[in-house]
Amino acid sequence: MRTLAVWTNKGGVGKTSAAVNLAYVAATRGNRTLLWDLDAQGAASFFLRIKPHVKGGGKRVVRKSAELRELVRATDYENLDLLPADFSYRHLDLMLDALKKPSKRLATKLAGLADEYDWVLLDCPPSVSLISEGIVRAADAILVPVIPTALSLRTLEQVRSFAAEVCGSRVPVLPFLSMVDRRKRMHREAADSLAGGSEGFLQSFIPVASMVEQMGSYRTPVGAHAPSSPAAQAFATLFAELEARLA
Amino acid sequence: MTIVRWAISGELDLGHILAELGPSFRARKGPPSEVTVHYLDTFDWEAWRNGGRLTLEECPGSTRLRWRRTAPLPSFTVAVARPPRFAGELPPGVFRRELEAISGVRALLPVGAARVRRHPINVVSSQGKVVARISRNTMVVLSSDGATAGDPRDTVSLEGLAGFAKVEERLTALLDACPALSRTEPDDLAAAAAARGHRPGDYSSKLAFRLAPEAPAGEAVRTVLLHLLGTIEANVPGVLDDLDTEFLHDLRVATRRTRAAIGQLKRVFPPDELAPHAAELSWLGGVTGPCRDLDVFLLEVESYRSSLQPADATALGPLVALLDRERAGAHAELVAHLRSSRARAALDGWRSFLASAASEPPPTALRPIREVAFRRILRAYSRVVMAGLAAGERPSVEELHRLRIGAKKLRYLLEFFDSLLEPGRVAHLIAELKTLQDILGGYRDAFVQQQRLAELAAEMLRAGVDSPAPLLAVGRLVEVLAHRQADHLARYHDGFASFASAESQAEYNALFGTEGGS
Repeated sequence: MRTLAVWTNKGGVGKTSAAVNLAYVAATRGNRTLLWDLDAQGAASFFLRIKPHVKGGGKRVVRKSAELRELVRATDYENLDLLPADFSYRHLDLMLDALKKPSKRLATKLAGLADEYDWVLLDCPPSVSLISEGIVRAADAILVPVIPTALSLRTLEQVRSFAAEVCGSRVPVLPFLSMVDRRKRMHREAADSLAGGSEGFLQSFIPVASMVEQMGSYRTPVGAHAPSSPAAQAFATLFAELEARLA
Repeated sequence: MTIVRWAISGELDLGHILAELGPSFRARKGPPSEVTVHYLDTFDWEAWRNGGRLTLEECPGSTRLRWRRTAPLPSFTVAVARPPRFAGELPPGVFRRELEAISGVRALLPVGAARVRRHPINVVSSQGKVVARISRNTMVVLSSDGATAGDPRDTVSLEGLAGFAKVEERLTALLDACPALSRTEPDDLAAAAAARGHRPGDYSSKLAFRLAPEAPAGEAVRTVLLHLLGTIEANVPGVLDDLDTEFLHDLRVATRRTRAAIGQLKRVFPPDELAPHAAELSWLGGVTGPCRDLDVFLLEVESYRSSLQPADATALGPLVALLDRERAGAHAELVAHLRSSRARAALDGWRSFLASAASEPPPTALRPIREVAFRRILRAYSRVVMAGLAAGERPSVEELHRLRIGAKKLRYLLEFFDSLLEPGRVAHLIAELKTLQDILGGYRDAFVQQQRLAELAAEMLRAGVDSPAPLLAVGRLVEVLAHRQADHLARYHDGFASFASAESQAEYNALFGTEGGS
């Protein structure tokens, strides 16, 4: 089982759409895939038409005795399951803080699903907190969407520092360019400079696309409602690169 | 994902049943579809043996490969652009790895087909989320030529989805309560295979027969040889169509076992009657050799190539291309031989000979098989031990080759006659011989392949390869093979020491000596 955390501490950079669409691509390639919506906003759950509600809330999720598999919901797509969000996740840090070894709790819970899934993607809240620490410890890699602007690059450095502080160099931080608008010169220059693999960036990037923006209307992954679109193909290429990197 | 099925035996109104779920759910009819389901498996039924059903489902606009297995084994589904012939053609991932683990180099062949007309109904929540899938299905099995075979079967299937157990339970109860429905678990694979004259598991290269220890030796040996002839004949079509390399391998192993049995147990047959058949079987073994040697070589080179960096792997391209051409030529020759009247006469004649008992059987044929077989086994073991001891610390290539042949003959005898002892009694002896054989076989292959590579390098030069990279790549491959040959030699000494140990000799004597069988 490979666990990929899609995380950055900056909102609005395409984190959830990346998590949902990459999970969809993984599933269509025959991988048993689980997407865990850890963001109290529940956007990933919304996209997949599953009510962002967990009976017992965050307290149940972090409890040692609770089995995550009881909370799993099948999506409308073969091979793709969801652990839905819950509004109580906004207090997940506090719930974890009350436990022993809080930063390892997520990894321990996910280990129980190791035989059932080939890929687990974590859609993480955009914050730096105890839950973030748990995510870094649970992940095999951290995927960081970065809009090609100076501020986003600064955020990337914060993510890298945090990951190094928690786990040293064990967990690779894999940034990729997100929402790239080549009509804008800054985006063009940054994409040309970074998307070739420099600064540790993945070669694949995701263009800004109306098809991605329309996910909220369709409530389906891009690959489901626009399989031939450049955005759908970009996510497929990104997944292939991730699969090769984490092989 | 669980699927429950019901057979339909009367008038059925699914809409009425689903309305009982209440206003929180609605039934959303999907467009009817017609799906052609091709059941796939290796020739030796490995998917079935591993508890699964591998199907290729084709409907307009979509082709999916499904592998349904019994929990706790995971099931898989993937969209494919075209039917995969081998597991390696699937997209990289766990599905491909697990399927490769059981299918190996074997092709995924159609073993049956059915056409299913589906009328799906998705049960949808107020959020528009599918919470259960129901389908009314009409299935008809198809014969090899695509014609319908047998009566259509009407069923209803319910697929529950994880996290929506309550809906699934209510639906199951509603469908169970319907007088027109009764639970069913039809074996669609068996029905589809039967339409082609097969049944799941009807081929295996393993020897599976039980001999009565007191049966006359002539009768028992004919039983063994008829089984092997069946294996030879079963594999000929796959060799002719070149479906995968294991057809030729299994055909050759069965031929080799036949020749070993004839050689070791020839006294159960009148020698003049046996001789012409032995000669033809020798001919058959000979004509299958060149193509198999190239198959093994190509598999070896590909295995080596896949471990290289891309640039180095590319450098082996000219060698692989040359081997592919040689292999194509060898296969064409093999096909010509197998399609010849000589081959047909050899196999038909052998079957006739085995099917009819000799009018004047030799005395050995009338003795109990246990007595005859045990004596042969003990003698074969002694010969291998003596040959190994005579070869000493620095055996020649030829000495090791003869040793390998002797070990193979002994192993075949143990496999033919293991049913004369308690189950599993000789399994460890067979395993030990297999290990020794693999070492000696690996040594032999490495030696022969090094020589062959030198010849191929010369051919590549004659063919105009003028850049150094391909020749250097061949040179590196020769080095790898030389190391491998040395490794095998080192392992041989340990393996033989165990095989020829005093303990081993005592065990063989105890099992197969005069008072053997204990």
